[in-house]
Amino acid sequence: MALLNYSVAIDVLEADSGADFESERSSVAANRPLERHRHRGTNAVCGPRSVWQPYDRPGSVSKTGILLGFSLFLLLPIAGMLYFTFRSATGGFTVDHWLALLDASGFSFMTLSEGLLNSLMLVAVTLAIELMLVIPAFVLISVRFPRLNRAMGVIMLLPIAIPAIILVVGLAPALAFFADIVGPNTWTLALAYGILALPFVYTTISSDLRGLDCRTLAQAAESLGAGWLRTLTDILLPCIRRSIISSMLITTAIVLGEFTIASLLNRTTLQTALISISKTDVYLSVIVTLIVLLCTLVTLFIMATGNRPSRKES
Amino acid sequence: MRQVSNALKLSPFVVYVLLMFALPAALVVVSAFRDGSGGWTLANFNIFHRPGVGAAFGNSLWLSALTAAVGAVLGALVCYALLGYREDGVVHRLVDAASSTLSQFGGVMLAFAFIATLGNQGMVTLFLREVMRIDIYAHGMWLYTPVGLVLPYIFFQMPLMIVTFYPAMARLPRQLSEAVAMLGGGAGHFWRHVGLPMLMPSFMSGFLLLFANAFSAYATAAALISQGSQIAPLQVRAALISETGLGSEGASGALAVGMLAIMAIVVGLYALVERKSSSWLC
Repeated sequence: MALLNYSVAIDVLEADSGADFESERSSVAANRPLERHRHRGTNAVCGPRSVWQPYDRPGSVSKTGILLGFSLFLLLPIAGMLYFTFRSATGGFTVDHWLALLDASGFSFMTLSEGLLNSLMLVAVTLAIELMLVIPAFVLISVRFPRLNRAMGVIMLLPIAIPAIILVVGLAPALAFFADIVGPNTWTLALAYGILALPFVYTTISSDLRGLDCRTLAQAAESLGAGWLRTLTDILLPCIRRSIISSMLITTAIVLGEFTIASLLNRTTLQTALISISKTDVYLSVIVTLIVLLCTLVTLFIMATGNRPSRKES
Repeated sequence: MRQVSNALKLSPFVVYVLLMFALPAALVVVSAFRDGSGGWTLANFNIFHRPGVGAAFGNSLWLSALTAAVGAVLGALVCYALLGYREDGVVHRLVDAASSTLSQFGGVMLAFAFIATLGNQGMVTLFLREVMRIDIYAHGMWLYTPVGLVLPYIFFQMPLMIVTFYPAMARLPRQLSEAVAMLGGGAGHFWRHVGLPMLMPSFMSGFLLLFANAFSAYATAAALISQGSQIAPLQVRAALISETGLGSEGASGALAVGMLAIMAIVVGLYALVERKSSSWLC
């Protein structure tokens, strides 16, 4: 499971201090040691010819080398998938597998579209749970019960620590109970997914709240006569909208990628559909995997790009 | 009065977490100690004597430890390389987006990617066999065994380490390396006596998170391993869906308690290390 939110958290931190930090560093690192050497004429630390390189920064050769190796390792399986989809049964090059995507018929396509629709519905319901139930509660805790913050840090680790495969053993009766009340609907799965996403939503939201001084804001709003609902919707939630958006993205990624609970409870989602069509049409499942992967990557990259400038101006 | 109304506002969330998380977790633990007729028993734990169960837990342990160690070290190296790039530069954003995506990229899709790359007809396999004349499967097909899980696991462990460890690395005070230089120390001194000791707690908590992550990963193994239940999560599944009538609910509960015991140790260590790391870097 991923902790995308950590990077978001540090983004927020960096945004405050990033600019002046940078300039201070370059002047200290580049100039001062050189001056010292010129005065004393010794070369205890480094030769007078080269600019002193901070020990905790990588040299240009090593940083390029490491990142090249890393991207090679990441790109290899993706290239492997691409190669696989363009390869005909005899070993030649073909685009038939991609063209088959346009032919919207057949059993595997039906399964896939059903799974995709179910997954999208689950995304919507899970997002609604996080937005209406979970995030207001997190805000309320940090405004009114700040002493609970420490305990929350530990409690919110538990959904990661308890593997989904274990949780599903106990979830089956709990969801069956729900199914008795509202009927056997696929959307009940979203109740479980909301729990799976809790730790990721919590770390994102809470790191943003910590930098906000939300208690003062809430007191100010209340002294002007706003009730809790008004304070929440007009003051506090807009202040943390960026971390809300990134936590929504993580939640979407989790729900779209979840397989364990769905498969053990015999529900059809995108992932279980991918598995079942891979038995008949492995090319289609690899193509869909590629598309899902690239869509997520591009979305996150755009998010990271779009977030930067507006963050500095605020 | 005020506290009461605040607590009321919090109650829907509390009820939700209790109902969908605390209750299922409690049900699992209780089911491990129940026999078929509803009495209390320890007999369910006999499943650990069954052939394959111990081996599966052993496989899970070495697999998690190995991929967490490799993923943590390589991920930390990439974090170090990232320090050399501008925080808002393209390289940085690309690595950020890629590691966020790929650390989520566990599961079924990851298995497909590796079958397409390293499978019998995969790109790398064919390249090695036809161009380099090396048959990586000369000693049998290992991709569909626990050994074959190592590379796919590292593939999502490394990005997860980058996402969790980079903040700690970026927070390392810059003046430290200057201070070491002023005192006449070299890069080796800096890393051995200052940098590594300060980063160690964060590194260890990253490692433990990766360990927990690998230990509970299920989907990749389910899609990749075709025969038998060779790691612990697959054993839980086997017990869950077994129709042999061996009291499967109690058995899966007992296996789950076994996994939970290991995770409890990991979380305990994590909490210890986390307290230490927060005292260093804040």
